[in-house]
Amino acid sequence: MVIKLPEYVGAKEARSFMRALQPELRRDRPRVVVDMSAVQDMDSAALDMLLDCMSQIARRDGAVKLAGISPQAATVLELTRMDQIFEMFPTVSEAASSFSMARVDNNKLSDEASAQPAVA
Amino acid sequence: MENIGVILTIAGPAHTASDGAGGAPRKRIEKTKATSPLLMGSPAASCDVLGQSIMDRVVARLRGFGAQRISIISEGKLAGCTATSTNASLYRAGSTPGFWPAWDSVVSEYLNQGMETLLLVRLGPYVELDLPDLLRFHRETASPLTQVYHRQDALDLVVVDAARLRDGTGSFRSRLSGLIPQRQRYAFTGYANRLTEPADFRRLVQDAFSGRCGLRPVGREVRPRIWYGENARVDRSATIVAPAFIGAETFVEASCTISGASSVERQCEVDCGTSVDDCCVFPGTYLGMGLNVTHALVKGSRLFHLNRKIEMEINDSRLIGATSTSRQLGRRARSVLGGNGTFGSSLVTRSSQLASLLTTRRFGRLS
Repeated sequence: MVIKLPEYVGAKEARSFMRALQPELRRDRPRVVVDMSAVQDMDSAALDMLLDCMSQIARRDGAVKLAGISPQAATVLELTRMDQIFEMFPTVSEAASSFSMARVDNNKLSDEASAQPAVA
Repeated sequence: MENIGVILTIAGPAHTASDGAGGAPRKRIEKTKATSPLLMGSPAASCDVLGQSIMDRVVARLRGFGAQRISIISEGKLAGCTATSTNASLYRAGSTPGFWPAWDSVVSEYLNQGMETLLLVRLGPYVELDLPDLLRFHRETASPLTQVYHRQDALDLVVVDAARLRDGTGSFRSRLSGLIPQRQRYAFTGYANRLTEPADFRRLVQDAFSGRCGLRPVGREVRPRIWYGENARVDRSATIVAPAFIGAETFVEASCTISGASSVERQCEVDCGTSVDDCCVFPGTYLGMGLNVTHALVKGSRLFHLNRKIEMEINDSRLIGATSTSRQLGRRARSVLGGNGTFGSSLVTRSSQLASLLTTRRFGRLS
């Protein structure tokens, strides 16, 4: 699921975002890409929103990734140290493809794990 | 020093570099490189650099060379600058009669007082001029007008023979224009910073710390290359990495780090756990809890990121903003009562709490 954030993200926009997120949260291992390319301004309600999103998705063993982060959004994320807790990608497609790569890697790991006893 | 009158002009926020209103001699004498007089919304000359505004420093330097009569013509209000602080005549031309009539009246006043030489300076660039040497050159060349050049670029710094302005008709501005063809060029080789961009301002602070220019921090050197202004309060658990400047009446709270040749000017507050690296924090700025402020100029709620070259307004006073009077008074009261600086921990924002928790969970430590 890709959710694009508007130019300004405050409390109202944060509520809309969380509503839009609900269908994805009903799935097992939800995968969400937040497109932040249009964001020019965001306040602490937006930061709370991202953290809420991350913790709710993490509870369902999913992942949230940020993409196309505008310089303004990048500045706020860096300012609040949130750049250290989110995975960030230059574009939405790169963020989306990182999910499938992760799946390939996981499959590879599980194949190797199952193969190990035979080798031993 | 001979009888010299100095006119310093400062453009206000209403004008841009192109209209030339802030520079008395600029457009008419020689077009200089486009210079913006504003730095994050106010004239660069009124901004504090390591405890004192550029304008106050220029005035003090001119006084050091023996200039007795100094007038400042400003189009806007100059924060933290008064005629008393500069010991100069201060004219606000933002209202009537306007910039040029104010300029003409100051020139007229100087001529009536029998000044022999006028020094006209547009405050924008910061220039460490050797005034006696400039005046010597002006006398030796017997030119009616001398303009200062730095690396082939004309600076808004002109010496004029007052007697030549007395003659003639029309406004003094037009008489000055009439002297342009006879101007001499004075090549200045000392320190100059055009202050056209925020990065230039940052460079000025770095140059001051490294001794590349003559600016010195106003305060007490508490440790090698770490200066504190009067009544600056730094929590014992805070880390200050040299070189650094903490301005007067500024509070640096628990677990903060100030590094990367940063300056935090007067009456600021850096709240608990915040890191400030490679930054200039302008007077009266509040930096919220647990922040990571890097490569930036911060003035109230405005932040200019030096690497990304963007200026943005952060409309959330829990992150950055102006230091409120009540908060400042509270801090001062607690410092008087012997508070340990941990009071603010009850004011942790939900974001910084969650961010810290998640960082701890992910990396196993607090960043």
